[in-house]
Amino acid sequence: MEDLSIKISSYVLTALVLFPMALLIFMAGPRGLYSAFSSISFRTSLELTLFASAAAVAIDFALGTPVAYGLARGIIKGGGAVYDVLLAPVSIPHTVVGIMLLLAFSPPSPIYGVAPWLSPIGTLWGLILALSYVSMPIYIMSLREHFEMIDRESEMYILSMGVPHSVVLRSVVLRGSFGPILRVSLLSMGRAISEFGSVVILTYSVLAAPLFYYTMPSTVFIWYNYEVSGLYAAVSYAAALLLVTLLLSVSAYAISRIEH
Amino acid sequence: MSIELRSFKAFRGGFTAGPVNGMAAPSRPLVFYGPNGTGKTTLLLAIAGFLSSEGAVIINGEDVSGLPYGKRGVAYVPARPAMPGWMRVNEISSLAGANGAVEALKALGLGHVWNERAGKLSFGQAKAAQAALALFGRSAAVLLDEPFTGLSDALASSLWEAILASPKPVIITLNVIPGWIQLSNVVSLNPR
Repeated sequence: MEDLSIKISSYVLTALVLFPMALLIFMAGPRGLYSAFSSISFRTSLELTLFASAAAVAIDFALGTPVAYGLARGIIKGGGAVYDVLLAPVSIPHTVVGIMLLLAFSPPSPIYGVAPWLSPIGTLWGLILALSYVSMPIYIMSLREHFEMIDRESEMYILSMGVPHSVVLRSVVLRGSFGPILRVSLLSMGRAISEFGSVVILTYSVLAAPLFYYTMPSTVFIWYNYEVSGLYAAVSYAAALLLVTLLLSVSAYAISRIEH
Repeated sequence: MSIELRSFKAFRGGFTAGPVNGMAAPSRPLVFYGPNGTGKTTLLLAIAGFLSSEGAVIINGEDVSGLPYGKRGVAYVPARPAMPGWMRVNEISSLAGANGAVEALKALGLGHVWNERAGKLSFGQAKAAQAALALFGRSAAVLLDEPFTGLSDALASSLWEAILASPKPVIITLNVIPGWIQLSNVVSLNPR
């Protein structure tokens, strides 16, 4: 009986997650998806989003990987507090994140005093900043879990021979964690692609000539179409973006299966 | 060259191993002998600095017990193969600064594993190779956890010769003392 209740809960939840996805793709249909992917404005918007998300995940990798390792191994003093701070963006409403980042580069902020030209509004780097800010916690949290799970004896063996942590991370841990890092990066990229709240405030549209001329990130593009032309105008674009994010999720799942 | 333990205790969770006293010198390894659960591995991990401890670890006259792991000059070789499987033996040797390791491996009859990935070695080959790299690495003393378990008699005997020939002091743990070893420097640990 208990087993049955667990199974029923699992199936109900899975259906709740899958049903809206399936309905969206069904409503769009092959013709809608084709027209979405054929639309130059949507494709440009998608290219901008994918490019900025990949750049954000590259930042997550460069900065977040050593931090995740340091937190997992207790190398960072006050690691618990650092972890809580780094995870904070998960629970901050993302429109609030947008306002925070906007303020950080506005006249009241000391950053503006030092570099007034560093405005994130409508810029590619502003978009990357927002996406990295919201995807970094997912990246660090997931990678820390991986580092905590891996066998430490290899590291202890090499560390005890006087090899520094940074070399062990680079030469030993990262080489053995290629799959998990790729999986976590794909999940973080999925999170970055889906960001709307902070993006709509900082980078409603991006001017980054010669690549992007007032291009809307995909989530803003969908919202714009919904606001201006109604639900049915947004359906095919939403379904197309859903397929892209599902592709990332399925890739991450496939990588985790290969790891096992 | 020596490593000496004075009233040394190791702590893991609520478990305390020791206190132990003893000294290892080249050609005179110190052996922690006892059944499972007596704290042999716990002691090695604490000597290397991976667990908290009490008492002194003196290497060549200097107490290193206040130093973090990696700075103590004590190489810890686990009982299981611990070389990362995706790395070649020569890469690990290079990281460990084990200059004479290739000759040591040849002496063990393992010269052919030098360019192999560690993951391709058999259990016994991997254990003997990781011990050889530690014996010839940059550390001042070596801790070998159950070095002979899983090795053929011939390989175990060669490794024992390498331990005796090493210019470094070595501490080893043994669950069972093989019949072909003559030991004089043994700390017996008893279950609590």
